[in-house]
Amino acid sequence: MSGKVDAALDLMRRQPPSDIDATLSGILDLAPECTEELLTSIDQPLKVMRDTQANRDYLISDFNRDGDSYRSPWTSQYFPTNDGQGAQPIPPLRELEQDLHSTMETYRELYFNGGIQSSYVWALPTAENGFAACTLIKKECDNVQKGLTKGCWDSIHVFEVTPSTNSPAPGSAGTLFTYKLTTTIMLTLTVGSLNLSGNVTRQNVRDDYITHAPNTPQGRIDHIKNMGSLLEETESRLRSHVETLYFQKMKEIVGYLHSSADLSEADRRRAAQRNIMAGLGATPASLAAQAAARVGTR
Amino acid sequence: MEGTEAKQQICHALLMASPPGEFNEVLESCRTLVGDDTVLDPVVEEISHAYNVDQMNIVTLPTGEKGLITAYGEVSPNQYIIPKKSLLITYQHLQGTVTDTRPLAPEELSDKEPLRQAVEAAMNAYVAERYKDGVCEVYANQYEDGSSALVICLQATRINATSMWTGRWRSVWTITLSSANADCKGTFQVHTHCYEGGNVQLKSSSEVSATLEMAEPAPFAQALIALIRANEQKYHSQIDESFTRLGEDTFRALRFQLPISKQRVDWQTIAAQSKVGHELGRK
Repeated sequence: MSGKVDAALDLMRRQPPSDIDATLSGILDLAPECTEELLTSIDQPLKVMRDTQANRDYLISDFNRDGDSYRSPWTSQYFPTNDGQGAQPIPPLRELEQDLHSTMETYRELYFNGGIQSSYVWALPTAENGFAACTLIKKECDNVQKGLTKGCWDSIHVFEVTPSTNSPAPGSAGTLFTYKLTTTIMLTLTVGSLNLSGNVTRQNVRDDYITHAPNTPQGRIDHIKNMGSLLEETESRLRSHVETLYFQKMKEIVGYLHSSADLSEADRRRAAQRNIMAGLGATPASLAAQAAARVGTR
Repeated sequence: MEGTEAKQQICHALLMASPPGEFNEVLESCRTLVGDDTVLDPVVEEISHAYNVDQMNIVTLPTGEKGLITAYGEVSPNQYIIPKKSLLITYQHLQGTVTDTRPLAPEELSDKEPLRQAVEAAMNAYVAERYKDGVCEVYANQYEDGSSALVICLQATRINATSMWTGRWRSVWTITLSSANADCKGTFQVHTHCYEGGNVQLKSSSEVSATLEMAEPAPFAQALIALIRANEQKYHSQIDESFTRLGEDTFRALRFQLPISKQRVDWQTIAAQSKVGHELGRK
């Protein structure tokens, strides 16, 4: 069974990320016995559901699923309705969820200027005073005017918050918690027949204090503050990484396959430079100085 | 039996989508997932054949030189013409090995052989000039209606395990010959895969058409290679422009590097504000 799960994850790392839904459904048909495990370990593009009670959209994932229905962060109701059968977070966690969700709405507006965000909180049975949470953000962008460019960004942030096993610094006030965040960004960009898509995942762990009692309004603000700054930092760093990977590295690879300049010309220049350096016993620095002097005399 | 067929089809689709140089790894994972070799064994040779021909797989000849496995040189599913060596090779798709070679007899060559050779010589020089890992074949094919065409296949693959990326460039030029003109149709495909901390892939394709006047083999080959060089460079530039546009417009519009205020979020404040809003909303 674990061999099959590993094989499935290996395929997910190799198959074109633009076909992630088709790949996953194929894998599940090949090994239906691994369905539950694979659905919890493979990130899928976020899908949108309508909360008809609040008249607002929300994002669905395995984190807010019960059977075939999905719980809305706006009303905590399930859609499609399951007649009140779906699991509900206990009241203090639902309070935390509402606070987290509305704080992340502000974050979404500041960084995404649109899109949809949903946050969910659930119990961690293994840790007293601990909990798990996720923040999902989806933003799409079609620019028909500029030659049909299309983009879709999905952020999947999953937190595990547990009382820290480290001892607090001497003289520090409050309770130390460990915040473990796993962030996946899925990004698809297309223009004409060019498709650039993928997903990157990064984990970040940090200890931080809450200075008020857990399960009080102020204690919840402390948690959200700690989670928010970790999320902001991780997502911003991952965004820079994605930018380098998608645009710089891909451009280099294409340039490696097909050279825009004559390769023999470049080879000749490199060989000539090596000869000069060998002949003169020159260092790259002294060559650079010579080159600079030549430019100066022009 | 129906289940078997469905599983074979799924594996076929997964294998055909393998990134450059990763077919064997995908096959291994498919085998593990299926967990029953009797499902894949009957079709694996056929899928490997389809993949190799689609990708124009590079083959190392017994002489150490490289040739291409393509639909244009296929005599049977295991036999391929390697025009640059006037050889017919027997190729094992799964192993990627050549098990037999036979020189082509002069009467097996097309009457366009002088033209083919001129184009091949010019292509070889061009490939060395622009493609570090490029391999090309130039085929001269005769059709039943009496018309003939040159087909130029070019493939370049780089597997960089240290930097965790693979990439492949494919070009196919079909030159349909008539007494006065040559209709040239080029198709280009690029597929790259970066797997450092994730899975990012670029897929791109394009087509182009042009007409050349017929001439003696040497000047015709020069004119043709000039056309190919210019159009492949143009396609490359279009990809670069797409990167720039997607990076500067689309990517930035999706998620800002910093909020408009140029300041990171003040979490204490927005968490407390949300709290207020939420308490109000609840009443």
